[in-house]
Amino acid sequence: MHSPRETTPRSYRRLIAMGGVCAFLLVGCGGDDAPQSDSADDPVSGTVRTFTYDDSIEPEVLDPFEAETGVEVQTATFNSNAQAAAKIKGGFSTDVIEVCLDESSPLVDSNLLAPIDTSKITDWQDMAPAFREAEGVTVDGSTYLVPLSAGPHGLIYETSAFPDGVDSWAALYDPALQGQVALDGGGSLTPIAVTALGLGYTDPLSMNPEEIAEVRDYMIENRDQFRTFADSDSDTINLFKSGEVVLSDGGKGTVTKMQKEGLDVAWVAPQEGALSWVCGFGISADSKNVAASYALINHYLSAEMQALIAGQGFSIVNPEAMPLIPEEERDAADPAQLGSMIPEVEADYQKEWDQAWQEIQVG
Amino acid sequence: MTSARGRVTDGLALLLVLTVGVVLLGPILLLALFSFNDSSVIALPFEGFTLEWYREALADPEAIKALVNSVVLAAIVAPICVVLGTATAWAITRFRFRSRAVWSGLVAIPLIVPWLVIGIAGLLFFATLQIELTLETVGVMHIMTTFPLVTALVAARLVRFERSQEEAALDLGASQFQMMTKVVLPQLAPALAASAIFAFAWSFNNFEISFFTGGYDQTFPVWVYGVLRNSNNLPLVNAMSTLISVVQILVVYFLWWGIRRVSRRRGTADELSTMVTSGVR
Repeated sequence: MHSPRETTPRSYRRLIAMGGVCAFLLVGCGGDDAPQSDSADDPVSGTVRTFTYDDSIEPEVLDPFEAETGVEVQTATFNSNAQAAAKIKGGFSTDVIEVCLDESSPLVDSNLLAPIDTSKITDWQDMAPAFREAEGVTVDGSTYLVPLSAGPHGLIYETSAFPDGVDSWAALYDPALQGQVALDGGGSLTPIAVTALGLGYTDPLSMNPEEIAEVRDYMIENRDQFRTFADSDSDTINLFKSGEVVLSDGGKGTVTKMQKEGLDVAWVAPQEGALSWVCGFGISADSKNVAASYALINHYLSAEMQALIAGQGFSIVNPEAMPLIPEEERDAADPAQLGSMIPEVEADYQKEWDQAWQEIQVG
Repeated sequence: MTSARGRVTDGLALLLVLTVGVVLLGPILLLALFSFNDSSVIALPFEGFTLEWYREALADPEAIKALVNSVVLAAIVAPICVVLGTATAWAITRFRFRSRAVWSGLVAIPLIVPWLVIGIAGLLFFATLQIELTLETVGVMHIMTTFPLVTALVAARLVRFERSQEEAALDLGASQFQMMTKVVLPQLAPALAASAIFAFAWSFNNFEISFFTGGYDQTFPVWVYGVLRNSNNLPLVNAMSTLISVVQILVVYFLWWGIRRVSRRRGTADELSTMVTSGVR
């Protein structure tokens, strides 16, 4: 009979020793942190690393850049700037970061972005002023973001249900449409902002806490108005296709997709003003290849690449690209339309917005 | 009366099983169904049959690259976890030493701590050591979080295992190696097979840890999470997910089939349920 052993088995010690060796090897495998370029004036070469939304790194945009410059592009993706900020703050190293105005503060406030020298941005002066001067592009005198694409956010309606069209955000709360309306619920900004616009607030993103509470209470009171809060544009499309809703807020690009599916829908900028998201590229404060980062941003801002971006259903920021865009895409791509819209930037009382949205969702 | 009550009970039981089945399998079956729908919109009515999404998915280099990354990673992680987890389970259940409870607790931690926290902790760890984030760093973290699962499954089997068989083998002159290979491992085979499947699936499916500890080579779940922002990609993801689900089902089936054949040759009767639940019964 064998009695249980009372001592630590020798194999344990071996295992611990092996673990130590592995850890040592891992440390030895550490990346080469030597910068390839720390100035926009350096020759463009080496590798540039991007950290963006997935739809911003299409091969048809990146391949010409790699071919022209010889720079290798390494890509990683995220699903929100807050998620990106968490990873970068944790130590993830990258060169070019996609930044959207409505969620840029986690990156800007944590000094994760380097100021951009706009004199090195080739088409900076060609960019529509509405983008160049948009709130959040320049903070305290430093430019952190080169806008590259945008998207208007208005009303989507089924044309057969509205023979005379729709022209106000207030239609979302028309009692006659109870249960046939969807609201974009991907975040707190758009649902509260469009409701506030319908209630008569002209500058919803500057609402004080009392005003936010008033909008919140109105939304909770009318919670039954909505069939659901759509999490994405695919949700919105599905709701229209299944006939569950006849009215929703959403992007112009979403309507283009729906029309391609044969749906009888239209998009309108309400009289109170449409919203518009704006996204672009910033350079990481930790960038190891500043020259290639500027080169990549310039590539995205060039007229040829802006025309390709228009093909994704987005509005572009460089009007020089308009002649290169197919006729049927020009209306959605035209940067001039964004001038009169309300840019989606972070609200003055963002925490109150987020809190209110949580309360609205649970009813 | 009794038969009437029995029929009601049977009916309720059937209803419960059907409800659970629909809730568990319904979304997966719908996903598979819409992967053949000739429309990029995931909603009824069905627009017609197409294999276009499969063709597009298999022609998407980023999707294939991410899939290959995940398969290779899981294929490396799973056997390492089976070895590490089994060794740990053996140590915890077969040896008596003063710090056994401490080690058992340490091994259990990755099963309790949320993967999001582990992912961020891993990121901070690698950043502190200035280790570049790559698939290797993801693999190290997957091993760290997955081998405790194998430990739990195998340890549960070992606890129920008649130690007298080990002792009898040794008393009859078997060496430690022979006792392990001829007596213990054959008994552990269903648990090891189940562990390998779960370890593979845990690594393959993991998003949180892969996102935070990965660099510029993405795994499949990270790719899926990124591309779902654009609704045009939904049918591609459906097609790819359906293919993966079919492959996973086939792998489990053939593993079960192989184990059953071996078991029958040995005169035992390990079925699929034995394999899957061996560690947790």
